[in-house]
Amino acid sequence: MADKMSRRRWASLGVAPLLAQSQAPSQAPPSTEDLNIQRENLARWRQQLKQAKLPMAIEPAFQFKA
Amino acid sequence: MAQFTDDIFFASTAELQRGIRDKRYTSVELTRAFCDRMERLGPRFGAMALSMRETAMRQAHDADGYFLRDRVRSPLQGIPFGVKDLVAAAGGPTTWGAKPYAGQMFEEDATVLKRLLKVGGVNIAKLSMVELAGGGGYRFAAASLQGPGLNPWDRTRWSGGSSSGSGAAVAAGLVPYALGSETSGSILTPAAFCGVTGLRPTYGLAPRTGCMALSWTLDKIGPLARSAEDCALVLQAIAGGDADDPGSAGKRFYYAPQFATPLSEVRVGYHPGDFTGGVAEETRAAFGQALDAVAKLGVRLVEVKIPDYPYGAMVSTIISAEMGSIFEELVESGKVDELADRRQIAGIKASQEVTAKDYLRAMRLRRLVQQDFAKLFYEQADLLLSPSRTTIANKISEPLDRPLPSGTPMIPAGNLAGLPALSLPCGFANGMPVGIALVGPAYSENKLLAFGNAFQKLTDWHRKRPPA
Repeated sequence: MADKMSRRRWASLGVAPLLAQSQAPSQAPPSTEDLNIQRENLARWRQQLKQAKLPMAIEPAFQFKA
Repeated sequence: MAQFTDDIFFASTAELQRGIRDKRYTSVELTRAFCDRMERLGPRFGAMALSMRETAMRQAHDADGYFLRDRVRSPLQGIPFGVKDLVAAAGGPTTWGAKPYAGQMFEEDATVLKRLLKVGGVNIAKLSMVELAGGGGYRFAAASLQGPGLNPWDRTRWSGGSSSGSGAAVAAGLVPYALGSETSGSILTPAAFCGVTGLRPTYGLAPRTGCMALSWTLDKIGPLARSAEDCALVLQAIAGGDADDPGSAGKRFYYAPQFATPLSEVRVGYHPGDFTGGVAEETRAAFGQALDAVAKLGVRLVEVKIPDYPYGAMVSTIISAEMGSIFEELVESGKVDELADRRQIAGIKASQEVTAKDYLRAMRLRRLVQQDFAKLFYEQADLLLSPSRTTIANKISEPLDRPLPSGTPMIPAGNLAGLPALSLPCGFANGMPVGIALVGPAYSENKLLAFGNAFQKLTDWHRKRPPA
């Protein structure tokens, strides 16, 4: 990953609207409600995962190569 | 100076290259025409993140030099294309569709892009996408630095995500093909919603070096194009081992339609309920017709039921855990709050709380999913058929977390098992395209593409164009 873009470089690429958008004030951060919804999702997924039968011998589906 | 009609923008790569070889136009002229169209119509569909005209013209000029010397490195030489804005391209910003990365520059092209350029392809644009490929669980189509992807069939509807620009650009004739990426549904969804053909390769077949990571164990790069044949040509160019990608399978892909198993010997598994009660009512007639068309191919249709697992919970837990680690700095810096979608911000923040125990449980269940699918493909079916999506593209204003008809969850299931899939346009409902998806065993792309070719010789849904 390299350096930041200069205004001149942005202009030469014809992406001024993108630059303007990137400099627009950011929206309000997510409410507690949004965060709670996502935490509830995590909890719901956890319950669903627990309900699936899983033999003790099963290893995770990724490999470490030495 | 060559004069182009609209037909050229909807031609296959083979037809386009034939025009260059027959000296009806040069790659430079073709590229200029596609660049003009991309810059004029790309913003209209929210499809273009960045025009690459300057470098594209140089690439086209080089390609013309090869044609002049009768040297053709590939069927894609001299043909324009676009890439999702998570594929690094030197010379311009690679934004990942997200404001915190709006000024991000890479000094080197991603490996998939290098490979397309090496065979003579011409990259005319970076294409818009859902911010950070939507891993946080966005609520609205507008979750992107470039705004919502608008569907060329109806601009009040979404082009699908997260490869929104790739789907819209191919459908609108802005590029003959585009690269997209899929973690869980991001190629198949825009392909189905926009009425184009999308190929999700087997996990590890196409290198991801230089592409944004959302989930190391799920991310795949693949093409969206006008036909299965064009998807095959693109995959052939980008596939192959990559020492810099730890997920690389170290395998190449050679498109070999001449060695395809006769369709009469291919067992296609499906669940009849997926084409009736499992999809939105308005789409049932179209899916019924599509099933009839499949039957006409002479394949052996067999009823199957995929193994029962909590696929949605598994894929969501794995994406959250891996994304949580990848974007830890983004969260800690507070820059995550600059993203466009509040639900997505909350999802990325919540991902910091996924426990190792939950992640490992999901990954252990994933092993069982892999084993069960391998058994299903050995014993019951060679390919699995299902609707790509259960609805037509939603309205831009509609929240994405509304309840949908729930057929067989092939998108999370296929992605968890790392299996290839091909989405084919198969009809229309309320004027909007719908698609069917074929899933096969790992590295069965030739089999999927042979089916796709046969289906597209029998039907013309992939040739339909959106309203002017």
